[in-house]
Formats: sequence, structure tokens, C-alpha cells
Amino acid sequence: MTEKQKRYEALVHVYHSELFRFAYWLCRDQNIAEDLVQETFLRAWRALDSLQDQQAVKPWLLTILRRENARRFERKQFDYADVENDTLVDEQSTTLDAEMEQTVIQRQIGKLSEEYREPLLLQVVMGCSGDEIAQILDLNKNTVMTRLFRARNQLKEALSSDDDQLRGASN
Amino acid sequence: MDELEFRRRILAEPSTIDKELEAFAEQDTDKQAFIDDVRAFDDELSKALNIPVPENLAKRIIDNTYAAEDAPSEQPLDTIIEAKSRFAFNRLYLAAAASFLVAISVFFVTNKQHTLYSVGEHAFAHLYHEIGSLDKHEAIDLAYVNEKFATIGGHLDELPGKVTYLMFCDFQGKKGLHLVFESDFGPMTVFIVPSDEQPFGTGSDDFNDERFAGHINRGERADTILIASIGAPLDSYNSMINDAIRWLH
Repeated sequence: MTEKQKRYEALVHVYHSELFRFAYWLCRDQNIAEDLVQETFLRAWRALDSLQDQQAVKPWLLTILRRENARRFERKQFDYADVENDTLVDEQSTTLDAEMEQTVIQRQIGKLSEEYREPLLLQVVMGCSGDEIAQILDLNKNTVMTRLFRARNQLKEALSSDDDQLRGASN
Repeated sequence: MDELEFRRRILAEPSTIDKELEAFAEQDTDKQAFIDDVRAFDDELSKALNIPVPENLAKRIIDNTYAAEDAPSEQPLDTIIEAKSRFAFNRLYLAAAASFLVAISVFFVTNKQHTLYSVGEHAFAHLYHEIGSLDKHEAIDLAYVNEKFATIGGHLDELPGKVTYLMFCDFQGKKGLHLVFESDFGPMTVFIVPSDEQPFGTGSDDFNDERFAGHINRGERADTILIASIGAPLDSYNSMINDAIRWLH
């Protein structure tokens, strides 16, 4: 195995899970998410020699993935948006309560506007710092912090109103 | 720092509490409780986002990357999945089949210059858009399939293999069912698209490309499209599926 292959495979093993999850929450489709991650790593392989700074790997991969996601809309000729995402199989064993709670949170995350959802995903799923998010999204750090604050605030508010509705319904 | 600034900073970055924030929250149980509350919320958030990653994804990514590099010319990524196909075609056979089909395709393309989309174009565009649907193995209960199918008025008595993929899809504005089942000849795709307003594409009822062959059964209620890998006995599967479909009202 060449040095380049070793380096590449290490990169795939370290980042593929996080990138898949990030991609999934961007597009809400497992197959598209998998394609996006595949395309990202293929491009990363082709450009690996140009990557000098190991510290910059994660923002670099995320930048490629976001660009691929944007290209998806450019090359889309037919409107094939899925009407429902029915087949997401959750293999993790969780209690029904926890599962319901997670489903409610997932639904609310889906409702967040992209400008709030994306920084939140970068922080929670990818573990990016505020500076990294600012670099990836090409925003200044204060804007990123404001969006992160608003994202959590909106989620918390939406979830507590869901709770209220549930309580109302059971009365 | 004031209370609002404190809350904003905790909500923006719950895991990063610097000295300034720490000092501000010290000896204030309400502020401590707020930090704990936001962190507990973040744990829930992480769990909800932590969806399972497909099995062997890393290996597939690496294999596909090297396969793409070995390919003699730049190919679209879709064709790389050929390497994962459960069919053990030898290369010579594939090459012969491919060149033959190129000739056939040229024939079809030149004969359909005036149509907007042929059945084949429409079906393949959709299939390749969701090509990962062919790599699923988890069985989906037929009762569940029927629960979904019933919403567009249909019922399936049986299928010649377990269903591994099920999705409602938008076929040019028409909501239809996209399912994949496992057959003895590899995964097969079925689209069932209501035909009351417009037919599913025009032109020949049979179509194919280098990898797949398909057939459309034009029904009164819906068009049923079956797509299988080249070499599979399409006709017999086609009759089995069309015999199994019933309309509820």
C-alpha cells in the first residue's frame, strides 16, 4: 500500500461516519447522503496531494461535501423529491419514550431553516468549533454564534410547545 | 456580562464554558441549573442526530474510489456500483453486452427525437437517482408495504421476494410507489405510478441500458414499471407482479 493510500484510508475511517450523518441531516435521504459522502471522498482522494495541513482536514472535507450537495440541485433535471422518508431504519435499541422524544427532536430539526440548521449540525454532529464553522460557511464568528444561539432557542421553544400540546391533548 | 449575554453564550456553545462564564455563574443556583439544563438538552440533541451509519460504508468508499481510479476513463460514479452487483458477469460478456446495447440505444434515441421523455429515460433517471436503493437488505413487512400502497388505492397480494426498499416518490408531479424486492436474480425495482392524468412516459414498453432492462405494464389505474439487471427473466417476474396487484376501490 502506498503512503497516499494509507493516509487516505485513515481519513475515510476517521471521518466517514460523521460526514454521513451530516450529509443525511442536510438532505434527509440515506441514499443521497451515501452518494454525497462517496463523491466527497473520491474528490478528496484526487486532491489529497494538495492537502498539506492535517489540522485543516475536517473543514476541507466539509467544504467539498457542501459543494457536492449544492451541485446536486444544479444537475437535478427531474423533480424527484421524496414525498415521505419512510425507510430510515433505526437499528439502535432505545426505549419507546426515548424513541418518541428523539423523533420529535428530529422533526423539529428538520423544521429549522437552513441558516440555523447547518451551523448547529456542524457543531453537534461534526464537533466543529465556532471558528471552523465560520470558515466553512464563510461567515464571521459573531454571526455563527448568533445563529447557534437562535437554533437552540427555537428548538427548545418548539419542543416545549410540543410538550404543552401533548399535555393539553391528554387532559 | 449581563444575564442575556450569559444565556446567549451558553446556548451558542454549551460545551465551552470559559472562566468568565464560570465566574458569572458561580454561587448562583439558577444559572448553574440553566447550564445543566442546556447541556442535558444538547445530549438529547446529539442522540437524536446520531443515526446509524450503513454497514461497511468505509470499505465501500475506499473500494469505489480505487475502482474509479482504475477505470480507463472518467466515469460517472453510478456505474462504479457495478462492482458491488451480485451478478458475476465476466468482463468479456459485459463488454459484448454493452456494445450491443449501445447500438440498440442509438437506435432508440434516434427514433425518439420528438418525444419529451421516453419511458426508459424517465424510469432510469429515477432509478439512478436512488441507486443506493438496490443495496438494502433489511426486510420490510408486506403488511407495511400495503399500508402505504393503500393510500393510493392499491394492494399487493404477494411479491416474489422480500421487500428491501419502499418510498413514495414524486414522478413528475405524480405520487407513486418505489419499491425494491430481492429476487433470485438480484434486486428488482418496481414503480407503481397512477396513470389517471398522464401516462408514465411515451414510446416503447421495453427499455434497457448497459446494466438494466425494464418493462412497463400500462394499466387502467396505474403504470407498473419493473426494472431488473440484464439477463434476469423479466417477463415472468413482470406477470407475477402484475397478477399480484389489486385495486381496492
